[in-house]
Amino acid sequence: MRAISAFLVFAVLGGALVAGPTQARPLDVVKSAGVLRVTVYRDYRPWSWQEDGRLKGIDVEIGAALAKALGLKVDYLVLRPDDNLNDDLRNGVWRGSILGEAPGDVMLHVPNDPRVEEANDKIKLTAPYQTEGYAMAVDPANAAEAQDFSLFEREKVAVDIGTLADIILLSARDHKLINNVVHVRGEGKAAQAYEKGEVVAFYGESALVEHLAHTSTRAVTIIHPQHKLARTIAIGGAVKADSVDLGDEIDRQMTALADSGELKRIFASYGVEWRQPARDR
Amino acid sequence: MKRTILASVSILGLAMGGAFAGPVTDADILNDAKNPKEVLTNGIGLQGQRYSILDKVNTKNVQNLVPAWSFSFGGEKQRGQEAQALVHDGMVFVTGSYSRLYAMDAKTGEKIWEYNARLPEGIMPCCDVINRGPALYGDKVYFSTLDAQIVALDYKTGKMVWHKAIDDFKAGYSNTAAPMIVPTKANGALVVTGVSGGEFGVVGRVEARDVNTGEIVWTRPTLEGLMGTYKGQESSMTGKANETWAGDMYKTGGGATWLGGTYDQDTHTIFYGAGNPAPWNSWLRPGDNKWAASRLAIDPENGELKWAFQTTPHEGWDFDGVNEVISFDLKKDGKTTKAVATADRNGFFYVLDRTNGKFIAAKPFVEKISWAKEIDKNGRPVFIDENRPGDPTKSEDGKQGKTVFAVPSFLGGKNQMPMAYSPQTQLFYVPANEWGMDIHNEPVVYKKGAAYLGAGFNIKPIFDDHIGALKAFDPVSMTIKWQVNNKAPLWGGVLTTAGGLVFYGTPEGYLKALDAKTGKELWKFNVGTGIVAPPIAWEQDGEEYIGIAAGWGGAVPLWGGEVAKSFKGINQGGSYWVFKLPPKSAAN
Repeated sequence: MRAISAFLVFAVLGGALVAGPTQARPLDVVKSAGVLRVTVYRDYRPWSWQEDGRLKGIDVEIGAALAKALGLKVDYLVLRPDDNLNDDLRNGVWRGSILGEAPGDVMLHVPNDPRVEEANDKIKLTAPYQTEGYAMAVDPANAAEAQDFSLFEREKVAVDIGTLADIILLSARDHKLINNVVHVRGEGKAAQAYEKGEVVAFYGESALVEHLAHTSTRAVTIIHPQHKLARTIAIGGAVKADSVDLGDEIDRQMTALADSGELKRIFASYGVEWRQPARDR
Repeated sequence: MKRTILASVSILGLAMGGAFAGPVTDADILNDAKNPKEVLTNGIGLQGQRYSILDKVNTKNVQNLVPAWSFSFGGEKQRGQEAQALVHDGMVFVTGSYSRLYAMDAKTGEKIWEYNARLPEGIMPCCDVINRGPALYGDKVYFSTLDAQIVALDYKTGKMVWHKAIDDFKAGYSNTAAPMIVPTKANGALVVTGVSGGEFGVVGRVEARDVNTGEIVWTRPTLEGLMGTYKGQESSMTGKANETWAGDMYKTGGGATWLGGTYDQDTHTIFYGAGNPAPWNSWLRPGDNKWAASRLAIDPENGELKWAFQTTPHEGWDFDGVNEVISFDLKKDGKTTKAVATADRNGFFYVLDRTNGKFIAAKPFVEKISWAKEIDKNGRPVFIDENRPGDPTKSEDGKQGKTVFAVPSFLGGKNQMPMAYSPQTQLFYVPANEWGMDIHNEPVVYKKGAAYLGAGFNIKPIFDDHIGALKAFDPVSMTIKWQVNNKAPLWGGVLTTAGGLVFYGTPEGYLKALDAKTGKELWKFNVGTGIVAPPIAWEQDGEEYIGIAAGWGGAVPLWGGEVAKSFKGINQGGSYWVFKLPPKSAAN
């Protein structure tokens, strides 16, 4: 059912869900409101998650830094991921949710890929701020054998369910690892399974793995096994298609945050290496 | 105090001309199919036949049918009215989209009360904001909400009596099906629900609660390897772990029970369907993956699994196994068998022995099925291997698996809209859709900031002039006796009556009456918005009333492409329509 309606790729947008015309929020409107509404994902460590009643994470801090640079207060729409990115952009950027929550002025953590813009004519991408890929935290004694995943034909590996990292593990070595893939739900649980000795490795998006590994109580080596699905992507933002001057201003401020070292500092404070994407795509 | 209230209410009931005022009992529920004056259950009887014994409206006079009243659900919340209404104590109870419940005067349509569930922020309804209807028992009316609660209200006042979380909406759970009341010896009447949910790892289960308190009596997970409970203790495992699943995949393997169930008193069995297995890409989960894409037969006393039947083993096309299971007596070769029938998403119509789940027969009810050649004598599909979506990791560029054209599409030969069975004609009336899909497993769909493996779909009609087709299916000869085509996909359910009629609604907005024997259209009326709900009939002051919820929405309009052309321009809505014969015709 939904997990499936889920995968409807580019067909849905512009369908019957559209409640009304997109409300343009160009720069002057946002400025006069005094608040930049930033869309971040829910439960998405180390990018945006709640801890001790506080919203924290790399995307949360980048949003705050952008608002500050624009002379605005910051407000967050904490987005629950829907079935696919198109739905997320509809809920988070150009229309808002079906239940009436207002969208953000800018959404962070959007893949900076022209195909996203091609499939969503109501949004415009803004500058990328990180290159993201996949990484594995593995017991140092086993690191060599994990490089080609062969280790997991006999040892267990933890992964967050439903992620691409999960799919890579289930697909690798002609599906031979399936019996040893331990599924956890929620970022952080994979590292816990590793620390408790239930698995010899955990796998996921690079930022998550680096973030969890840097506070791990069990020794760990980080590797990047090769797999044709484990590609890197650039991560950026998105604004409404008719808020072009806001998008341009965000691009300028993102460049300034990169140049001043602020981005690098934010990433480092979560144990994540800042990998600056190419500026022209 | 309570006694006084009940007394005064029953006097009111008498004054309204019904001998049926007051609390709904076990006997009332079990007798629902035979009592034309009320509609107490989803399915017009727990067996789900959707057959009304009323014949005051019939093939000879149905052309005279006129509106008796219409009721607006109000507000700005229109879209997607999929509910079947209930009738009791002079009132009609119906749910509206966005988890709303209405009680109306059955004769005039005047509003008696309205209940609006306060929906929290952050719910993520899967397939539109619909609800499929309430349940009645005792002095309460029950319904489930988009934030995965089950709510019990005083049916006279609409005041909340209890509510319980079926599961955590924050974890992706929701609920839209009509609850079902089942009387038991051990624990009295139980309110039975399933679970629905969108996020990865939601696993199906059926659960039964005390009607008075909402406390759980038993739970039965659908997937092999998972443990059921009885009164808070572990009871028994569903099947055996890892018999048809690899690794720990069964713990998060789908099989959601999102459409609700039926019950058969003869065999004292609950029938419930389970959705597709997860993840979507079948190459990642070797094995049959029981009991996803299956029908389960459950003992209402304790939640034990009596038998199960898997319609699509190792499912790979999104053929949910949730479609309703209808009990009926199969009269074939001079022998009567206690049978059940179900029209699966996978395009085949199945007849099983309901005492033991034994396979009797399966034949296509839609055309050009491409994923299986046939169903063999053991009830197992004969797969056409080249029409399974390919393994994306085997493709040359790793970008997408082989594309196949699969029929039916992922929305199924039949979806949530319930069919009906007439003991009079001994035919099933199946609201079917003829459509296929280009489908491929796709490694790169972006999800939550990351590339994500899913499937790409492009849904397409098969015929130029229609997608929908109402089919009269003979469960003895396993053939289609007649069909009536419809341009847009059918998404509402069916009612059949002793008046020799079949009633159903279309997205184009027509409620139609057909001759149950021939399919000849005898009457239609346009309610001004699309119909995606099942009709009912009841007797009111000696006259037969026909009721239907109206309001376009549900899963179909969420899809674009070529299919969208068939329903372009249909407006949303939210209302309840009731029809009857004008006085002089009623005398016929």
